[in-house]
Amino acid sequence: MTASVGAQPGASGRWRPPIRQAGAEMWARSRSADVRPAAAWVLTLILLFIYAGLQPGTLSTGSLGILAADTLALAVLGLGQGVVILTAGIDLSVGGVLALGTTIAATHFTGTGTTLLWSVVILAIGTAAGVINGVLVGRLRLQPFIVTLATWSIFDGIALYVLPVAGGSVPGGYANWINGSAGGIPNAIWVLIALVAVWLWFRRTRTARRIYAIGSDREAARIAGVRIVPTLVTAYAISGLCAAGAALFYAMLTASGDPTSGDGLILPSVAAVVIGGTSLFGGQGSFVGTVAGALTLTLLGDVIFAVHLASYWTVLADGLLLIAAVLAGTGLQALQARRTGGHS
Amino acid sequence: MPQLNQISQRERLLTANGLSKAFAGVHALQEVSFDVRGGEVHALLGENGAGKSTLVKVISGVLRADSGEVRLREVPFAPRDPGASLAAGVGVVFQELPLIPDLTVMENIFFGRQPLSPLGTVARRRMRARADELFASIGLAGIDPARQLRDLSVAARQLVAIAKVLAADPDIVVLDEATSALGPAEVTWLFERTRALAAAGKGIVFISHRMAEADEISDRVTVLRNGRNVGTWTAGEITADGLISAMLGRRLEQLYPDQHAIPQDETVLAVQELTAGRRLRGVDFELRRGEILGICGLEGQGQLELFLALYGVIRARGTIRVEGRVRRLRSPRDALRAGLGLALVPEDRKNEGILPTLSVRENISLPSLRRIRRLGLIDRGAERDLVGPVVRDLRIGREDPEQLVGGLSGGNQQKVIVGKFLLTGAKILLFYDLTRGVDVGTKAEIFKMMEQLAAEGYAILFYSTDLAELVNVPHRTCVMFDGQIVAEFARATGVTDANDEATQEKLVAAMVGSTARTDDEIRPVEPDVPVESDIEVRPTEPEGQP
Repeated sequence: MTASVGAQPGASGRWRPPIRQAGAEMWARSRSADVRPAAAWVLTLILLFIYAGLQPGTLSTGSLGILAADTLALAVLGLGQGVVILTAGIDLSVGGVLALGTTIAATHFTGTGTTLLWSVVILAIGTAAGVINGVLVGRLRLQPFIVTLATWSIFDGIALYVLPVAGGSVPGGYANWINGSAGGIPNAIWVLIALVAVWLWFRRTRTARRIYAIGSDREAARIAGVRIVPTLVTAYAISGLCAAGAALFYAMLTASGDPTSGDGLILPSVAAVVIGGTSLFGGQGSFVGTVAGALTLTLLGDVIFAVHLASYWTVLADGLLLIAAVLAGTGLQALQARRTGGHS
Repeated sequence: MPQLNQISQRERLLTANGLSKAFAGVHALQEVSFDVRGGEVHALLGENGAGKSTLVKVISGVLRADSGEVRLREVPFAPRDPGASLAAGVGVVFQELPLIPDLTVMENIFFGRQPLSPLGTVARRRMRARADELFASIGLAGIDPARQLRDLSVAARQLVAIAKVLAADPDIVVLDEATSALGPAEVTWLFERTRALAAAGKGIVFISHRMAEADEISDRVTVLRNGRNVGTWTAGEITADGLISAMLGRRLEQLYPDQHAIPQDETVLAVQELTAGRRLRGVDFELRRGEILGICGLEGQGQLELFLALYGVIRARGTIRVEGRVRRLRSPRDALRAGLGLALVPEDRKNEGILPTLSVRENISLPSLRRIRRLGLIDRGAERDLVGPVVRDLRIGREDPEQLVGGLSGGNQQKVIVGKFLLTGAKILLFYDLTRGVDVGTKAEIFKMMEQLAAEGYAILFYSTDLAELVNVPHRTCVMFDGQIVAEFARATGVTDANDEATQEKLVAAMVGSTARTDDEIRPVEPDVPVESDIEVRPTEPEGQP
């Protein structure tokens, strides 16, 4: 049943040795591959070496572990945020879910048993929150920005009910796990590696392909048989789940809970995704870039601290970095279009 | 028609001398010289990417030429933007229709030069009066100047864009693909206006992919190929074949295939009493294996709704039988399962067909992902094996499956749209306006592809706005009017002159609702109110259901 329209065996040209053929294919793929995540990693490495120049010892496993631990919550948040942004949406409610998660952790984690039990509850709540967002956005066709702005506020409200002021505590063993290591490599780095592995797996699922398709052109995806609502619900559920996961890491790092902890992480989560080369218009991007984006944001704060600048410089520099990243992304794309002869 | 020898003596209104323009090292224009004289209609022909639109953009100040100059009445002319160009008397109706959907028709027409009240606010009543006056003077009826532009059909928007330029009373009018969104009645109106403008001494540049139109309206023809002026001819000096050869740089063996597959007896699609809203009011037809069935009609007569209903995008009542089995098509997924594939090129040619940020491979495999899954994941090797032959057979772009679809030309994007359904197991292909805006070489390839698909046993429903295609390509053509099929014609054999054989005249007559099709009083009907039919809001959205 496949097409054999105008079938011309060997139409692609003369015979080539298989290895050269494979090489040519790889070259062809690399030409059209998205180079922006790689560019984000170049930026991260530059910042890392600047920081290492200012703070000797930065490149030790211990220091890298601390960097990874500081970045973890943002990276996990960015994973979910990135999936939603791929659908051409945005999820502001990750802040509310994160805040709620930390308050539950700080009030209910007492021993190993409760920590495990309530961790599962937090992840389930996060997923459910995402499902609600997904249904409102997909089924009722409401604007993602407004829907998640509203649910962010709702989850923040519940967080305030659970724990009105920052405080509470988590078991010491739980909080210390993040500083531990396994096989000579800090746990936080293992987690980052695991997240990238999960992403590489997810990227190859059909769900992921459908998410990219919806972000690229919703109607075209529908014509191609993609079920829009279940796919969007899945994307937002992933984001909710990730936000809850970020809450667990955040509680680990701060050893407490805070009903306002999420508010300061929402825009950085979007920034990490964008710096990592994901298009806010949907359909293009990768978590591989988002990790670099999150590391960059953390490193920028570290560098500014290291040169003894006031902390407001961090905020200012974040903004400048974001603009630079967007400009670089646009420039790279134009360059690539020129190279591949595309005329978009 | 003016005498040929007169043209060369007319005043040169606009002269382009040796214009060159390159994008990233690619020459879009190379030393192009071109002139427009008062009282002439000058057709500008060429394939996609030949440089027609670039030339127009340079003339109107959207782009700046790398070298060369434009003179308006012998004075150097380099407007900084299209507004300045229009003010100087060179008005361009752009292909992309730069209108603002949230404003009304009249606000769009007078945008930037709205009549003002003493308080500096827009004087709506005076603007309305001027709009009414304008519409009356150019004979445009049926468009309410107070309507929001977004409520108008693409054809009506095109007419508004033309009216906007005419409102400024320019000396030179450039129509860039202005007819591609128009039906026959609107084209007739536009040609009348064009002739009136030429008679008043204005110069008109007419750009179209429809050779027949260019032939009908133009006094001179200039052909561009790969950014160069290949030649300028006066009307009658060159044949249609000659023009096509000039455009392609080679002889086109054939625009329409001459060998036709013979439809098999088996009916694969039987539609009875298909009804949806006000636009689809009881449609019946049958489609056989290996058959190409043409559909035509003025805009908004239910053609789009027919295609969307058959593909489950909008809900419809009635019976749809696929290979004898009654199927309920509630979503595109249902339709895909039933063996239908919809290649829809939407009117604005911008979306609904392709996923621009994804590769050719990802676009084509999307409806067939279940065929290439392994352990819940997409098997990349199997995907390449599946997609590769389609990319090669349809000759999509550079035949590189990793190319981003957003970077492909329109014709190649259209092939991607078709290609993805060949893998789904679809037996019935719904081609909605697949040839819109593609050049003659690509058209020939699309027709050849359709013919081959039909020979392989695919059944094809083919909607087009180009009547010449409908006369030459499908086995049969059904004409829709007011939500129903009102006439059916067989393909012309060129041997006999039987009543049931399609000619463009018969199609037009049926399209405007003339029921005379069995008697011998068939003649082209010139509708006196041209644009009445297509200014309604589309009642159905392609989305809007779970």
